[in-house]
Amino acid sequence: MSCTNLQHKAERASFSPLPSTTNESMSDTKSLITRNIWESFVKVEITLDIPHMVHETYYGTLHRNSYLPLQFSKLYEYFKYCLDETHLSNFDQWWIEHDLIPLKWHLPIGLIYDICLPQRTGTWHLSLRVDKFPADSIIPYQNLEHGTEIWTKAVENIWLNQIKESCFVQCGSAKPIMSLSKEDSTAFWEAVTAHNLDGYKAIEKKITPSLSNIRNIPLKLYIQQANDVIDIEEDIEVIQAPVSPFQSSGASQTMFSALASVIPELFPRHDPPRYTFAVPSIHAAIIPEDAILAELYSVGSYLDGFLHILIEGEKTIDRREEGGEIN
Amino acid sequence: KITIRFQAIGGAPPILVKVFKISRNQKFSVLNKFLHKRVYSNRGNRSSPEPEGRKQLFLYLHNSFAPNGDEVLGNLFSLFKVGDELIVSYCLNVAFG
Repeated sequence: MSCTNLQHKAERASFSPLPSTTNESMSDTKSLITRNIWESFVKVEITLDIPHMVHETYYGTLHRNSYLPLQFSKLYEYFKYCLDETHLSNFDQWWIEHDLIPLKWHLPIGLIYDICLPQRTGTWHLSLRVDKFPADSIIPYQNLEHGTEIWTKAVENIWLNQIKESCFVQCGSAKPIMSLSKEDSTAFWEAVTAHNLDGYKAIEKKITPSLSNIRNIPLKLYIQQANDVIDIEEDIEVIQAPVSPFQSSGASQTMFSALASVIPELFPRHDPPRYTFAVPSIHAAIIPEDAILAELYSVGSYLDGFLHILIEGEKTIDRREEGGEIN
Repeated sequence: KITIRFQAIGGAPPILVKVFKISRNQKFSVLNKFLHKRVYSNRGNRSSPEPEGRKQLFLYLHNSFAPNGDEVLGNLFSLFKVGDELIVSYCLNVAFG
């Protein structure tokens, strides 16, 4: 079954090992994978470098299924002793850089990591910047909040709109989420900030239609050009298209059948289905050709309600296999 | 090219020409800049009140959600079009929170 395949691939891609599944039901396996994805993290080294003032590094981990600005309070506590008044009040100027590229904070951390580090492993070397916010390339935190609240509010706004968009793709309307009670809406967002899977799933369940009622699977495909340095703006093409959970024949939509219909030039039809020019991955694991898309969605969607899938061409795949030697 | 229809909501000033054609490869944020010029120019000639504070515009699809500025119009069109148009509502204040 496709889920078990995903699990093997996930293990290979260095997710925490899963216990033996021989006697477990499918749904236990699924919830284990879901929890492993939710709990998985990346190692970071975040350096704050202000000439004549501070050169200090934070070592830690970030959840893949979270957002950069939600980590800023932690960084603020760590770095505040060495910052002056200006930096400690201009919270709208905080941003993160990797290899001289400002990171798009509105995307989930795991997705940015997988784009920045094609080898999908190792410590992520980042720089914290506290001035000269690059408003041309990343979204300003645009709101009237004061203090460190500005970061969480900005993420909440982006996250909520993405969840609504995802809801619309699935249901053909954003009604399910817009008619949640005030308590449920608050609990949903709090589960995101507290990184609480059970709290998150409890509300997600209420806005997700049953399989037979899903119109389309919320999907974003990131086609990565094979360059040496990846610039999220320049080198990634993002494709979204209506993809039903079922093929026109009535069979379940698989990863391969979906890609073959959305990007046929990269995924020419092949019998049996086989990737030729490019390979899709999510959460640093390659997705098998026969993975059933609706199942993949229920275990592998990010916390913004989308399956963010990276598509890498041949050159990148070759390089990845030698990846260990590059750094 | 795709067709965009703008729709004023929540008391936002209407614009004269409402339907535009635009390249599929453009980002959603382009619409905000484009509309900004039209909504906030010649405001003196209109009866609607001058905007207070920052001149912001909030854009929505299906009167329910705001895509991210970096989402590609062609993608949004394929998923959220009505007939052969992508209907974008705009408001001077946050309309759907």
